[in-house]
Amino acid sequence: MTLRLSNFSKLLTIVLLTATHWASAKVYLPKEELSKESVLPVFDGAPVVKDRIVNLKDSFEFGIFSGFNLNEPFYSPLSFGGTISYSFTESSALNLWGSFFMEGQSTYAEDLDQFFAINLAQAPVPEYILTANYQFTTHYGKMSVTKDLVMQLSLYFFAGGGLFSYTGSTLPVVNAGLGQKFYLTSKFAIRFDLRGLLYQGPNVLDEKVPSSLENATERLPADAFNEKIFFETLLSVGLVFQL
Amino acid sequence: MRLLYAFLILSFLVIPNEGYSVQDLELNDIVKSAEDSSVYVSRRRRRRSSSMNRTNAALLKRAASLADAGQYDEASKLYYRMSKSRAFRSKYTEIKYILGQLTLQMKLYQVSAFFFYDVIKREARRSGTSRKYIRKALEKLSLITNILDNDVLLKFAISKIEVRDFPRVQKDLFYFRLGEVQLKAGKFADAAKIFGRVRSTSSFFPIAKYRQGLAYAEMNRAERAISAFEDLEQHSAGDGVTDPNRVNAVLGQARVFYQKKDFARAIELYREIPRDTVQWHDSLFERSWAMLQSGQFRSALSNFHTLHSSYYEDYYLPESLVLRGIVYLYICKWDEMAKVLNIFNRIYNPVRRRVIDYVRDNDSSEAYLRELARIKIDFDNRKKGIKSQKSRLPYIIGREVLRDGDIIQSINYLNKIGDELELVAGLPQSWRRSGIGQFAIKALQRRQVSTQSITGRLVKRRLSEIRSELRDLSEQNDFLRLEQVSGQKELVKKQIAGRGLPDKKVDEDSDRDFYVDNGYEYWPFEGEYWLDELGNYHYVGLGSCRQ
Repeated sequence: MTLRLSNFSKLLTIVLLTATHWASAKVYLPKEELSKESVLPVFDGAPVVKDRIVNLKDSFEFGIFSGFNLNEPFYSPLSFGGTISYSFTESSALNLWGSFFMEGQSTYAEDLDQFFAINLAQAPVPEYILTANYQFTTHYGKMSVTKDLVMQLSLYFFAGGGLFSYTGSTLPVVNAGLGQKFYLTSKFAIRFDLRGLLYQGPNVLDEKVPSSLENATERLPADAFNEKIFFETLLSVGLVFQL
Repeated sequence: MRLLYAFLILSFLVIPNEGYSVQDLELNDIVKSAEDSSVYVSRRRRRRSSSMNRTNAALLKRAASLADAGQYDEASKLYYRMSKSRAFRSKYTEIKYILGQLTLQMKLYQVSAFFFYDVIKREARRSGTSRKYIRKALEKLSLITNILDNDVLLKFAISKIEVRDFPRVQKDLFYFRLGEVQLKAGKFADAAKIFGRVRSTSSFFPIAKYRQGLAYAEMNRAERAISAFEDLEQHSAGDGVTDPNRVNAVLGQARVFYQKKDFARAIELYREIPRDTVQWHDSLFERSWAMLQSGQFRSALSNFHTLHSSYYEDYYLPESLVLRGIVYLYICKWDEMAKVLNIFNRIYNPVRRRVIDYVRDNDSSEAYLRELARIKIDFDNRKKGIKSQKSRLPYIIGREVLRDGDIIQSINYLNKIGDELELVAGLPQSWRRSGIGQFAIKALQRRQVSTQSITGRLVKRRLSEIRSELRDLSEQNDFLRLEQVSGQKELVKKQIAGRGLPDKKVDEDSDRDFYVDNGYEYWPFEGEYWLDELGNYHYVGLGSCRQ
C-alpha cells in the first residue's frame, strides 16, 4: 500500500509563491499532455512502486527519541530513549524500544499537595520501560513539501510486550500503536510513534498501610501500594538512521 | 439357426480398428485418414436378407436408446461400428452426424469436429434433399471452433461449401471466416468486401470490422480504413471507454492517420487510449514515433521516461532506445545520447548474441517447443513474483515470444487437446479399446504432434524475426554512435576555438521553477517509479543545438 500527501504541498506552495519570484526559465507543458486519468496502467503483478528510495528489507534502524506521556497525572510526562529495528521484509520488522522517564512531578501532583495534602514526593516513580514489538509497515508513500522537495514516508503499526520498571519493582507491560516516518534522506528519518501502554502498576493513592506515604522519609517501593490497571498513551518523536 | 444368427451379428460388430492410418502431420491428411477409416467395406457382408435388415434396425434402435439414456460412450461405440458397416451406407452421414453429436456431449470437441467435417465434406458433393445434415454440421463445427479456438477444420469446410449451405443464422460467421481466409492470402480487397457483409447485429461484427479496417489499411485506402474503425468505435460506444473493441478502433484510426502522415491527429487519437488497457503500452511507444515525426521532441522524451522505467525492464523495446537516441540527436544532447546508445548495447547486444547462438544451435521444432515450455514456466513464475530462468533465452525475449498471437493460439489449442486426451484416458477401458476409442486417441495424438510441430516452427520464426530486428537496430545504433561522436567533436572544437559556447541551459539551472496549470502539481523525479506516475512524466530540459 502506498499513499501520497499533497494538501500539505499545496499549502506550502502557496506560502512559498508569495515569498519567491519566478525564475526566468519557462517550460511550457501543453495542457493536453498533463495528467487526466486516475487509473493505473495494466501490468502483470507489478508493484505500486519500483526502485524505492527507501528500502527496508534486511536493514537495521537505530534511533533516539524524546517522549511525552499524554495522560500521566503525577509524574513528569517527559522521557527519552532509543530504538533498534531489524526489517525482515519491506513490511515486517522486529523493534526494540526502550525509554527512561524523567524525574520530577507533574503540576497536578503539586496541586494535590497544596489543596489535598497528598504528598507524592516519596511515591514510587516510573523509571524505564523496555519493549519488543512486531512492527508492520502498511504504507510507503511520498509527499511534496515544496516543488523541489519530496519526502518519503512510511506508516506502520506495532504491538508487543516488555517490562516496566517502577521504584523497587519490574512489571510486565503490553503496548501497541502506530507510527510514521518522514524520510529526510534515504537513510535518515524523523520517527513519530503513538503507543498505548497497558500494565498493572502501583496506585499511589491507595496505600497498603495507611499514611505510609505521608510518613515516609525515603521513596517507597511499588509493592507498598495496591495495584491498579493503567492505560497510558505515549507520544514520541525521534531521529532514526538506517544501516 | 443359432450359428447363422451369431455369424450375422459378428459380421456387423467385429470391425477391425486398423482400417485407417494417419500418415502425415498435415491436417488434410489427418482429415483424409479419418475419412478413409469410414469407407471400410467388409466383404463378408454382400448378401442381404430380411433378417439382416431386422438386425440393423435393432442395432439402430439400441444405439438410439442408449443415446437417449445419456449413455453416450456406449452409444458412440455402436454408432461407430455402424459407420464402418456397408449395411448402413445409406445412413452414413446421419450416423456420422450423430457420432459428432455424441462426442460433443462427451466434451471430445476435437474428435467431434472430425465427424462434423466428414459430414460437411460428403454432403457438399451432393445436391437437393440428400444434403440433410450439412447445415447442422456447419453449425456444430462453428461452435467447436469457438471452443477450441482453432478454426482450421472450419476453414477447410468453408472452402468446400457455398454460402447458401451455411445456416442462415451463421451467415455472419461464414463471412467472417471467409474474410480471414482472404486476408491471410493477401487478397485485401476481397477480404474487406467480405468482412463488410457481416451484419452489425452479429457478435462477429467488431472483429470483422476491425479486420476490414486492417484490410483497407493494407491497401493504403486510408479514408475507408478510418471509416471502418469509426464504425467499430461507434458500435462499441456504449460499452465503456476501456472496451477492447473501442480501444482497438481508436488505435486503428491512430495508426492509419500515422500512415497518412497526419501526425497531429494520430497523436490526439493515441492520447485517447485509456491508461488502464493493455493497448496503452503500445500506444505510448507509437505516439512517441508520431511526436518525433512532428518535431515534438520534448513530448517524445517525456514518453521515453515512462517506457524506459523499471516497469518495462522485462519488455522487449529495443526500437524505443534507438528512437530516444534519434531524439537526442535532434536536440544535440550528446551526453544523453551516448548514455542511451550505451544502454542499448549493454542490454541488447548480449541478448542478440544469445538469440543468434540459440537459432544457430537449434533447428528442430521439438527443441523450440521445449524452449517454449521453459519460457512459459519462467513467465508463470514471474507472474507469481518468483524470479526463475529455466529458459536458455533471455527472459526479455521469452516474454516477447509469448506475446505472439499465433503462438498464444497454438499453446491454447495444445492445452485443449491435452485436456481432451486426459478426458479420453478417464473413460472406461472398453471405450478406449473400441473402434471409436482408438480413432479418438490416434486422431488426438496426431493432432497434438502436428500442432506441437507447428508451434515449434512458429517460435523459431519469431526468434528469427527478433534476430533480424536486433541486427538492423544494432546497425542503426552504430550509425547513431557515429553521429554522436561527430557532434560531440564539433562541440569540443568550438569550445577550444572559444566560440560557439552554448548558453547556459535551463536544465543546468537547478533553481529553476516551473509554471504548472491550476489543478496540477509538479513533483520532481527522484529515481523512484510509481505506477500511477507512468505516462505522466515530463521532460523539462531544452535543446542544446546552437542556432
